[in-house]
Amino acid sequence: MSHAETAVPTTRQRLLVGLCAAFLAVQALVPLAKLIGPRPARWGWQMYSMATMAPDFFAVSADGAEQPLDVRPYVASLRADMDWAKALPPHLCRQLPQLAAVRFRYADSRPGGEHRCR
Amino acid sequence: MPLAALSRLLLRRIDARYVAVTRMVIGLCMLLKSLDLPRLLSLLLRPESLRLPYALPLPELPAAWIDGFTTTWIVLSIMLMLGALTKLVNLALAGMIGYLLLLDQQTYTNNNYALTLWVVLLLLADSGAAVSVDALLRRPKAFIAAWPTELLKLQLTIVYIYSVLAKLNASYLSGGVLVTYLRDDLPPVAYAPGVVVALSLIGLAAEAWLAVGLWLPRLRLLTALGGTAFHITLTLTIGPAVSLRYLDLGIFTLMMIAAYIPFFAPAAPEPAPAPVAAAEPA
Repeated sequence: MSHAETAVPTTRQRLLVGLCAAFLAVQALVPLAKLIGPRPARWGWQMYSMATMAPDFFAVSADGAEQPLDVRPYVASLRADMDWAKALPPHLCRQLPQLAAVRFRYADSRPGGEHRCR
Repeated sequence: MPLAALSRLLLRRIDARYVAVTRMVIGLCMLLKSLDLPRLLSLLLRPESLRLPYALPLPELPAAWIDGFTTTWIVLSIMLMLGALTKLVNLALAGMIGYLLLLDQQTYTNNNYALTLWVVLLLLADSGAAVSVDALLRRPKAFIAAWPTELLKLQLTIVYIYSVLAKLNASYLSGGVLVTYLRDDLPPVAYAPGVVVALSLIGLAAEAWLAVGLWLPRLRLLTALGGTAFHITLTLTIGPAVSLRYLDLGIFTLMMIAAYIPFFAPAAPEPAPAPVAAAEPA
């Protein structure tokens, strides 16, 4: 048995080991929780594990006409782990007051929807 | 890991030069990160851009300060690589990348999150103790506390483990995910269904092996070389083939290499046990 194994840790060393164990527990448990919810999720180390894309958005004018809407001028990064269908349409309505509604559709089987601007 | 084994691992002292090399590579990652910083901040801070702050919103950087923020970032990254005023510089960089990560939900990337953790753990290590400007001006230390870099090693393992667990889904295992992310100018055979499935499984096995192999002394070098080759391959084959993607994955590759280095750091020799006094005659 080596000297290190027989040495008794001081209170300071015990505290340090406890803090490190707490850090590791957080780092292990947060991604574990993220495996349960919708994916891909932030803080979960889920790189390249899903091919989920943000929805396509469409501008709807007062007469009901629909046109594809390029949303890149209104976001910093169209990450797949964000709920764009919830977050973006109200912002688009504020930025583009001439719109009557914003529609969104996914390339996969998820249902699309519409957000009325007023 | 049992607490006693964790305690032994964390309370060691290791060769400071290896941590210095990790510091240099992380400094290089931060320097490369600065290449995309003005673009990301400019996009986020446009008046027309959506803001998605976290529950505790951080004050927004005025758009006019983006150049100054980036210049400061560059100077501090170079100072970190050189090990000049290491603790102070490391603290400032941890604050800056932490700010970037938490400024808005749109600035989150796994890359930014990992780099933030790496920089914070480096801050806790005495990374300027050797091979640094600081060490030239003061007496260099041969060995430093191992616990911050042991946490870095364990964190790396956590990243690989969860990357594997997240890929255990039908979409990934069928090759559907990889075919979406592969560059579109590879030889046609790369997109054949059988090849894509095989490549997906190889990627999964590689990450699973990296979570284990780096902890096995006899296989460590081979695993680290394999891991480096694996990440370089990802950087060159995951698309679209644009410089920004190369930059992001290139930084991730360097971050992984930075975390491999402490696995090779020799531990300080243990002090000899105190001599036992001869028993006195009765």
